[in-house]
Amino acid sequence: MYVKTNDKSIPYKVIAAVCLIIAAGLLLLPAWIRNDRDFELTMLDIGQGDCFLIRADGHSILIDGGGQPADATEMAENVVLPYMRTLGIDELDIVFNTHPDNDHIGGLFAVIDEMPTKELCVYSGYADSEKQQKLLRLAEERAVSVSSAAAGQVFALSDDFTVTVLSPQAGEHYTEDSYNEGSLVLHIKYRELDVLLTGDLNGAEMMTATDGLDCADIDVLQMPHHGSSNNYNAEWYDNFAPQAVLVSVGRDNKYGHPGSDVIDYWQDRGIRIYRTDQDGACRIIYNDDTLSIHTVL
Amino acid sequence: MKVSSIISRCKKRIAVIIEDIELFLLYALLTAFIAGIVVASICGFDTAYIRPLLISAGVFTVICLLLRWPGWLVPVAMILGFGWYGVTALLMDSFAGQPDEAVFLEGFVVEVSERAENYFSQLAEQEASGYSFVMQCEDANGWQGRVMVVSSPVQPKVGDRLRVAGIVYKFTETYNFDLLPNNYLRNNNIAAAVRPVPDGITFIHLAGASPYALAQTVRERVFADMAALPDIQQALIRGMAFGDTGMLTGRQSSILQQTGIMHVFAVSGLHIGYIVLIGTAVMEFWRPKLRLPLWTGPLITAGLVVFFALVVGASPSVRRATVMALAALFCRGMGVRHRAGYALIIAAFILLLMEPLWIFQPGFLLSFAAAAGIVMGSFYLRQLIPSRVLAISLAAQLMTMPILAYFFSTVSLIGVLLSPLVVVAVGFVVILALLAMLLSFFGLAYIPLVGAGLLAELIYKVTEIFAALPNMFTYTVRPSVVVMVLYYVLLWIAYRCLKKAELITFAEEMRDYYGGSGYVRKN
Repeated sequence: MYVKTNDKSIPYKVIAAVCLIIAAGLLLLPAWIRNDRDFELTMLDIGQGDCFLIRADGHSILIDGGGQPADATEMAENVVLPYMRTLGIDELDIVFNTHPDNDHIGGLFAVIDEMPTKELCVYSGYADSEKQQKLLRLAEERAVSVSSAAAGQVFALSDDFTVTVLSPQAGEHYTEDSYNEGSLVLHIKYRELDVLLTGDLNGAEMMTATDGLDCADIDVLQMPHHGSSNNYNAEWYDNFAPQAVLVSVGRDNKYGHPGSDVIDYWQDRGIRIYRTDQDGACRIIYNDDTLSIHTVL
Repeated sequence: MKVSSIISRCKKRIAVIIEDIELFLLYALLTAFIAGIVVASICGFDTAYIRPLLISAGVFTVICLLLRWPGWLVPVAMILGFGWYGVTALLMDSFAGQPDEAVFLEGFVVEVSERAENYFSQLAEQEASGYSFVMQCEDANGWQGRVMVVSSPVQPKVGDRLRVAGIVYKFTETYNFDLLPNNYLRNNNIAAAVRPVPDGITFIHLAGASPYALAQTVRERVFADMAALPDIQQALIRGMAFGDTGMLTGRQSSILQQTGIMHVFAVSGLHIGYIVLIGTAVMEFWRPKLRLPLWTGPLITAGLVVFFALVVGASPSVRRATVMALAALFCRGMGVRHRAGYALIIAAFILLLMEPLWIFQPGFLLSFAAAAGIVMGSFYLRQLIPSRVLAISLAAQLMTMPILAYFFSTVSLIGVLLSPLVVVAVGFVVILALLAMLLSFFGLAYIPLVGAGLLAELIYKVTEIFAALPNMFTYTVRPSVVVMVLYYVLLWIAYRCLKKAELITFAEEMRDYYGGSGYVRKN
């Protein structure tokens, strides 16, 4: 066997190897040195439906997964899961489903199937919901722990980061016609930041859900039921003084969401409405006790 | 004049033409053409430009032909790319139907979709066993173009002539951080999606007997014989041998993406290569016995390649690999020198002329990037990695890594090692599936499919083990254009250095061969 003693090609090989390592590093570096914010809430643009992703203190929670009428998981496959991957999320701490309507639960089938998840949290009073039962069976198959949430329950993800369930009350039962009334209402608190996510809450439940909540403290408020006119309730809105109002709706949706009266109300008060149909996805960042809001469009 | 004399003269003429075309010019033309498409897309094409652009392109072409100045072809290619995008965009945008409006269409079926990545197919399947297909059609206002029919209660065949009464389906477009806008239809040159009303589909004329019909019959027979196998085995064989990922679950797809071996589920050069190998071996055996001329071998093999492409469908990777294989077989048949680099560029031109918007589609980009990596880089990488198989795998991975990061936010580290293993194993699955296609005419396809199913499941189980290992892949943010350009510049520098190293090594070997020093005997 022969070995070279004065191989002049070695420097070139070394330069090539270094170039390849640097090139690979260019792609990998952003994944290793992500600029993690203190708190980040993203209202994803998934057409008509709801999907919120929250990251804080190294924890990730997802609230609903969207779902198109014709294809439940399409938006989750094309938007929700890819978006989580761009953030480097490889595990979710909690997935909440506010209620089992397709535009909220549909995408969760893909999320639970493909994204490792520690806990799935639902309200168990939707007795006749086949979709919820199917989701629970999928969670069981994927070894995801399932918990039943109801008003008063607090999920403490860290010392600063808590999720409190405000509604529905334990023991209530909802049928397909009244799923919206039974929506999980979640009060998300991170240090001094307060966010209220309301699902498709409507009717008298709007008032009872926020009984005991200091509504004036809410910084970011999600309009219930995609800002539907049917849920217009100036008396309820008057309780709040948010910095931003969120509405997750599809472009040119056939339901007429959000209602013009809802839009007018907040515009009259000079509070900006962030809508996925006009702004695309919306990202709320709370960093060093400062709130900032960014949109795609 | 004798036929053999004509063939001989043709061969010489073609050889001269091929040798005359400089590789760099081809690259420049392709780059200019793509740049034209991209610029038109970014600027938002104005249809008023089409006529002057096409006239300018014609004038430029005549000038450069008269002056014999090929450099002028570069701006011509750019203008053509720009105008080509415009024609396509115009065809799509001029469709008059608005969401929820009724439309009446008449035309013929050009594509029947069964693929999972085509999410309208998923959409249709989730809606009471519907089907989806693409029609080249004309509406009541005289508009002509391509429309996708979703949730169809019947599945027509390619070539069937239909009349469809339906409602324009609302296509949801969404905009999210770090993700591309959801624009599936546009990327596929389709103007709209239409959902037929009940009894809204009328067959005017059924597709007659054709090679495509025969190919589809073969496919259906094999799929029918596969039905007895477990779901996972069916899903894997369909994917590995036919490029049909429709039966794979989201979880299975994720694992394959994370381990960087999703590429074996797209029918490509690997599959076509096996067809060429088998066709060549059979013809080399029989041709002398039957006293057939030399060119019959490549011709019959080319026929097999085309037939296989018809069986598996017309995805970007299939078309790319088919064009490249046909170019290679043509050169072999004509006795002229074949260069894979030329064939790759010509394939890219042909595909972009057929589907200009594929330039934004990951399937097209990945297929060409992987092939380009193997053609251009694998030889030089052997300066770093002696193993040929690993060098090929690494070359393909290096070229596709930024595209995967851009579209799928995934960088797989294990893919370089796992890919060669899987490619070899998948080869056996493909061969067994090809055997099943042949035996399907005798009702015996089940026999090879059992073996293929077991092997495919074993491959997947091994992949699962690799996927579970820590740090085998990472999710990353979508790289910016600057990062991607920088990446490819570094890759180019690396290849230049390796080329230099290769030349030095070669020179030293020559010097030593002719009596120089520099080597010592190792004890």
